[in-house]
Amino acid sequence: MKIESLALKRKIDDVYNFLWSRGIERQASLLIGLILLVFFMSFYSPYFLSWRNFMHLSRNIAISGIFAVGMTLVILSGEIDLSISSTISFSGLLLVGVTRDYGLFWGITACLLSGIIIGTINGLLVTKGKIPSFAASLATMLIVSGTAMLYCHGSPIHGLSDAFRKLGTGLIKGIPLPFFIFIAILILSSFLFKLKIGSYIYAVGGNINAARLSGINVGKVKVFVFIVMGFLASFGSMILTARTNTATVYMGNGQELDAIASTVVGGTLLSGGIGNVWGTLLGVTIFTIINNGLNLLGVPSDFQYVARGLIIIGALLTQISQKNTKR
Amino acid sequence: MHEKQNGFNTIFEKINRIPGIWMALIFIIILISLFNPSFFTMNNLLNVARQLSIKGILSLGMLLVILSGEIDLSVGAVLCITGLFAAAAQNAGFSLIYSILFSLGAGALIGFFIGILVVKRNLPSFIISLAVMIVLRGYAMIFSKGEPAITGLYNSFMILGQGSILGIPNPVIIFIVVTAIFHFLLSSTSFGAKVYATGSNKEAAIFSGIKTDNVKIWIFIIMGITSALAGLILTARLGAADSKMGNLYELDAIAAVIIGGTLFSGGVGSVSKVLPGIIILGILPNVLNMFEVSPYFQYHARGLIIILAYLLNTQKIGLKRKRKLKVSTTD
Repeated sequence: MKIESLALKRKIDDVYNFLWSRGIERQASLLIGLILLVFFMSFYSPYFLSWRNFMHLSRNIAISGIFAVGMTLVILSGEIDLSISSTISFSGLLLVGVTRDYGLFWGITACLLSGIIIGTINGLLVTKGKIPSFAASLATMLIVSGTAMLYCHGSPIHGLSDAFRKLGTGLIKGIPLPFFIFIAILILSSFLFKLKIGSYIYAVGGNINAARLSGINVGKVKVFVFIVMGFLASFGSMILTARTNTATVYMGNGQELDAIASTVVGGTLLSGGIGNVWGTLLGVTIFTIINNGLNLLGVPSDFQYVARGLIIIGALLTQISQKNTKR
Repeated sequence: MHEKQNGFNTIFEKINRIPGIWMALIFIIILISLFNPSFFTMNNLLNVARQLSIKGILSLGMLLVILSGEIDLSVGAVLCITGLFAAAAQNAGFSLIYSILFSLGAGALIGFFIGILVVKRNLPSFIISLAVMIVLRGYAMIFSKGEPAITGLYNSFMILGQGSILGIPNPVIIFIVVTAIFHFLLSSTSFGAKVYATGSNKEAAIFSGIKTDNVKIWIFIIMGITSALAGLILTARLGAADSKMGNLYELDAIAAVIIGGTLFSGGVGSVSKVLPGIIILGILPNVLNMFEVSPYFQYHARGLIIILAYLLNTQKIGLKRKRKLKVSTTD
C-alpha cells in the first residue's frame, strides 16, 4: 500500500516535471483561470454564451492577437518594440489614403511595406546602432507618428471598397474571417519555432553570448524578429481598418502596451528565452473576455483599466512564485 | 603626455572637456539668436522655463531610476492621481499643508509599492510600473467620477504654480531647487554613490556591503514623491485637476534622460548632463515654431535627437575604452 502510493507520487512528479519543462504547467493555471472566467461569466450574463457575443469576442481576439504574436517573438528574443502603436496608425492611414489615390493593389503594398520598413529600421538601430530596443523603438514611434500626422494632417480618412472590407467584416460559415486569419498566423508561428530560426530566437533570448559563441548570427535573428513584428503590425492594422472603414492617427494608441501585457501574462519572460505563442493566445483571450464581461455586466469602463492592471500584477506574482519554488 | 602646450591647445582641451550635450545646447542657442532675437525676451524665456520645469522635475526622478538599472512608466499616472488627491482634499476642507502632505504621501506609497514588487519578488520594473500605470489611470477616472475637472482650489495653493518671486515663476524656482538637491544627492552623498554602484554592477555592490534592495526601494519612493510634486505644481498651474493630465509624460521624461547620455543598463549618467537634455526638449517646440515648420515635425525632431544622442554617446564610450586599451598596451 505504502509502496504503491510512493510510486503514484513519483509518477505524478514525473508528469509535473515534464509539463513544467515544456512551459505548459505555467499555462495550465492560466487555462484553469480562463475556464473559471468563462463559467462565471456565463452564469452571470445570459448574453455571454450567445453566438453574437462569440463573433464579437473572436474578432477582438483576432486583431489584438495578431499584434501580440509579433510582440511574443520580439520579447522571446530579449527585445521590446514600443513603435507598433504608431506603425498600426501609419500603415492603416497609408492603406486608405493610397487606395483612394492609386488603387487597392498599391494601397495594400504601401501598407505592408511600411510595416516591414519600420521593422527593418528598428532592427538595424538595435543591432548596428547598438541602441537598446526600448530607446530605439521609442524614437521610431515618435518619428512614425509624426509622419502619420503629416500624412493626414491629424484628421481621420475613410472610404474603402465593400469588397475589401470583407477582410474585416466577412464571415465564413458564420465565423468571422479575421479569426481564421489569426488561427493561420498562430499555426504559422508555431511552425516557425520548429524551424532553425525559431530555435535561434530562443537561443538569442536565453543567452546572447552563448548564442553568438555557438555561431548564430545574432544580428540577423534580431532584425528578422523586428521585421516580422512590423509586418504583423501593418497586417493587423489592415484588418482593423477594413473592419472599421476608418483610419485615424490614434487608432493604434495603447496597442503596444496591450500586446506586451498579454504576452507577459501568457507566461513569456520579459528577459527573453522562455515562453510561447499559445500562452499569448491565453493572455489575449483572458483580457478580451474580461473587457467583454465587464461591459456585459454593466461595469463602467474605468474599472476595466483597474482590472487589467491587477490581472497583470497577479499573473506575474503567481508565475514567478512558481518558478522560485521549482528552483 | 609631455607635449609642449601652447595657449590654443589648452583652450581647445578645455572646450573638448565640455560634455557634448552642453555643446549641442550652446549651438542651438547660437542658432536661435542668429535667426530670431525675440527668443531672448525675458517673457519668452520665462515662459519656456515654466513649461519645461514640470517635465524637468519628472526627468530628474527618472534619472535616478534609470541609473539604478530600472525604469518607471507610471510617473504620468502618479502625477495625475496625486494632483486629483490634492484637489479633492482641498474640496473636502482639509488645510493646505494637509492636502500637500496627503498627495506627497500617496506618491511615496505608490513608489514604495512598485519598489517592493520589483525588489522582493524580483519582477521586471517595466511591466510592474506599466500595470500600476493602467490601474492608476482607471482609478483616476473613477475618482473624478467622469467630471471634466476638479476645481475649487485654495488661492494659497495656486500660488505654487501661478505666482512668482522677483519675476521668476514659482515652478522654475522649485525646478532649480530640485535640480540642486538631486545634484547634491548624486554627487556628494553616500546614497548617490550607492545608486551608481547598484546600477553599474549589482553583484559587486552587494559584496561591498550595499543593501541594493533598500537602495532601489528608496529610489522608487523618491520617484513617487517627485511625481507627486510635479502633479501638485501642474494642478496649481492649471487651477484644476482632471483625470487626463500627465498623459505620456513618462515618455518625455525618459527621452530627456536618454538625451542626457544616461545608459539604460544603469550606472552611467549625471544631473549636469540631463539638465541640458531637459532644456533641449523644452525649447524644441519654440525653435521649430521659429522656422515655421509644421508642428508635426516636433515628433521627428525628438525621435532623431534620441537616436543621435545614443549613437554619439555609445561611440564616445567606445573611443574611451579604445584609448584606455592603447595606453595600457604602450605602457
